[in-house]
Amino acid sequence: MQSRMKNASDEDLLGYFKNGDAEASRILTFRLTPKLYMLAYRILGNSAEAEDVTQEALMKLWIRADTWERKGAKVTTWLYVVVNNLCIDRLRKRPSISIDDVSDPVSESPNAEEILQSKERERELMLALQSVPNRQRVAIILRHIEGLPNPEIASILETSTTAVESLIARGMRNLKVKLVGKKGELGFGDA
Amino acid sequence: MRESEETDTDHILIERLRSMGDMPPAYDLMSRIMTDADKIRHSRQPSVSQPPILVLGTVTKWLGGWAGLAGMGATAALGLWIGLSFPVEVERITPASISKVLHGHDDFDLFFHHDTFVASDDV
Repeated sequence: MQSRMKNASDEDLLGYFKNGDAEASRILTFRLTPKLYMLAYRILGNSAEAEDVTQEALMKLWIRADTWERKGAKVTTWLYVVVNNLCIDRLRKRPSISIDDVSDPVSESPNAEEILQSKERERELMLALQSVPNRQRVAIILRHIEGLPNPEIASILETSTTAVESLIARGMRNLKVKLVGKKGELGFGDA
Repeated sequence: MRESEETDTDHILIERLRSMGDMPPAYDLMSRIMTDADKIRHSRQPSVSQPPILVLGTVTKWLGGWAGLAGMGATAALGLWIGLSFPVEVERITPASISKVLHGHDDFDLFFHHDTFVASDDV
């Protein structure tokens, strides 16, 4: 039963949860939380806020389980939409982002110097990512970090596939402009 | 040449973006999310269990299934009819009234003489 649950799709697990199965919600939590948390963290650049958004998004999923239509969208796509919307709400309330708002990411590198270098690199990248317009940033994260196909990103951002391609291209251009002069720190070499 | 340099930069940038995010969420967050799920699940518990149907099924089985229930229903209806119907005095029950009830007419006169029954061959 447990191995069947572990191999079940997110949609099936949500159905089991709806029927009162506690194990299904545990598997969904372990499967979905890291993805949602990282998406929220990359959009917001703040781990505490990313945790709040993740918890809120999954709370919406548990409530929604009763009325979930199996023929509808994928659970992850629906959750990405919710996370994106929750992040937009939070970003609207923020005046602007400074380097102090970007919380330190956790690194598991054993060498202290490498940890510092890696942290600095991630901090620079995160700051540059934060300065890119929101929709471009989300499109870059979903495409290049989460690895989602453009049609799925289009449904998350409620736009066309062509518009997604454009958002990604403009976003990457903006990101590179923001990172000019920091190629050394980021390990790009002197091009 | 410039285009390929741009592609290389894009590639490295994407690599950097991908490598920056291997931080697992805190255990505390997982725990809070599972608590939320349990709360929602418990709040829906009554609709999941269906004891009335189970009780009905058990009682039906005890009484010998639907055939037993139908028999009990018919017996109860007959009992009610006997109890509620207008009482008939014993003196009023005559062979003629029985014939009327049974055959719809009182042709019993053909067979009935002087308050005694006689065989039809003797008439």
